[in-house]
Amino acid sequence: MKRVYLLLICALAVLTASAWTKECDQAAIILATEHLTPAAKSLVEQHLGTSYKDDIKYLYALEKAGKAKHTADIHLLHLDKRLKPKKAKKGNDAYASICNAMKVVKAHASHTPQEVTAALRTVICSMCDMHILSNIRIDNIAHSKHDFEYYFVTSEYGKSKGSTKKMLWSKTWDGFNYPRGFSPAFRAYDMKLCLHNRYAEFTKGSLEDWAADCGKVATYYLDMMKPDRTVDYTDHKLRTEANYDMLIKASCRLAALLNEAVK
Amino acid sequence: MKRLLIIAIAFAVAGNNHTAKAWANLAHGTTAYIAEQHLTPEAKEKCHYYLHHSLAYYASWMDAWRQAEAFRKVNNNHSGRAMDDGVNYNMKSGTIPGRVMGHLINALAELGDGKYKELPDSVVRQRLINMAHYVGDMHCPCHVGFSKEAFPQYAYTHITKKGKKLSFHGYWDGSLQHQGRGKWYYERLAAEIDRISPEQAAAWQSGTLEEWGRDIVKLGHRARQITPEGTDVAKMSKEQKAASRQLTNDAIAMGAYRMAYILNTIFSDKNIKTYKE
Repeated sequence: MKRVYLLLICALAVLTASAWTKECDQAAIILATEHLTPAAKSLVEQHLGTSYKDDIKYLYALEKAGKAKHTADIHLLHLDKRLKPKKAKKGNDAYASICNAMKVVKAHASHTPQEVTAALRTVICSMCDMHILSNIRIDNIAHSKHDFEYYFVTSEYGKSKGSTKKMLWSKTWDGFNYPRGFSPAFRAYDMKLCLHNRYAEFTKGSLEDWAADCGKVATYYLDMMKPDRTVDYTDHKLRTEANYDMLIKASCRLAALLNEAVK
Repeated sequence: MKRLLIIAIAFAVAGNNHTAKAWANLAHGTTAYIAEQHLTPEAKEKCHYYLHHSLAYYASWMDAWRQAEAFRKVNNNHSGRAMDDGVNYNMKSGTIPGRVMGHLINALAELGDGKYKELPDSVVRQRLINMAHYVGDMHCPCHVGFSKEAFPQYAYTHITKKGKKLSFHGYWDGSLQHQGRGKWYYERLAAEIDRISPEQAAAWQSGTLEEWGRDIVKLGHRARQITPEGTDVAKMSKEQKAASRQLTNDAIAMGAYRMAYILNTIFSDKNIKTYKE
């Protein structure tokens, strides 16, 4: 019995520490909905209903139910040195999943409703996944989240000046829920204010360009890591803003992709 | 096996770091959220223009950044003190210049009477971010201090929770959490807290800054009366719990309505409240 509890607790820990919080993902979907064309919105609602913001954990739910082969790679984005998408070792990564699913969405008339539903859910989940910076693997660097254990300075002055706290690269980005207390709907409202007039800027280019952009942002923060892996307080705090931008980008790009598919 | 189980639980708890921890997060956000609901359309538009976010987004920003060297000078600006008469708020901010009330006075002088138009956007933005936090902080019941000489009964207020030490400050900073509301969204908290009559709101918003200060001192007294020395939070009576909840609600609502009043006044170019020594 104890063994079962142990496994359950470990599973819970892995699930909660491997993505943005559900509220953040749902906010991304709510905001994306606002940017959908009537045709795209109609297709989405036809297959997912009106409460599809709950589909964000679709891939996790599949894995949990044992209906999908679990590979960690499905949540990751693999890029080469030039930040071009690269084939994952174990099955498809987020980028490849989106490419495959979009083929189904584009030809939705010739697929069964179940196939289109699954494809739409995959696009939603994978678009968010590829924008989570700890999910990005560049040229096989950061293959394991434990690769990037570092220290960040918790205070820049006073008695505790220079004291450090051990962090994991993944922990910097995962479980993101800043500021706490935002409901998905209110976060979507706030994200819209933050997006301002940058929708065109964020959705410029192709899926490949967006993957490269994600890699570029990840590289910027990876480069910030000093040889002794100590990140200062200010740099660490600035990452919150970067994470918020990635959430907004994921939202805009999800809408743009679906709009393009049903053009 | 036991050790493994403990490690696994610790790992799970560490992964589930989504709960609100303090006044700093949830109460500040709720204060700003309610304030935003009471902004005039003009003030709301101006706030969004400068911030590119809701007020609630920046409500805890000053806490998030307080350990950065650039904010060293204002790290002690999050609270204030009562005068020894136990009625008035120390507008001169005690021994540390520019504590929370001082900061508000300076910000009002800088932005009020249409002066914000002459300032660079980045300066106005930073002042708004500061105010979204400080006005809430001013009204936090444990953010008003009393001198040990004048109020020895308030000194060393230690309270416990299930036998474990919990400071007076710790309880009131995290009062929403201790009251079982730590995982609520702002909307739900606002629905419960923002039931203020127009007369009450007008009373809170009227008066001078000194009168606002006196209200804040009253909040400080109430907090110390609800949780006196030796209180065990887990064994609080029904009346104590209700009084604690009411005080938290009043403090958040008072801060929110005043924050809205300040911003509405600034962006309507009307005369702003001032304080002169």
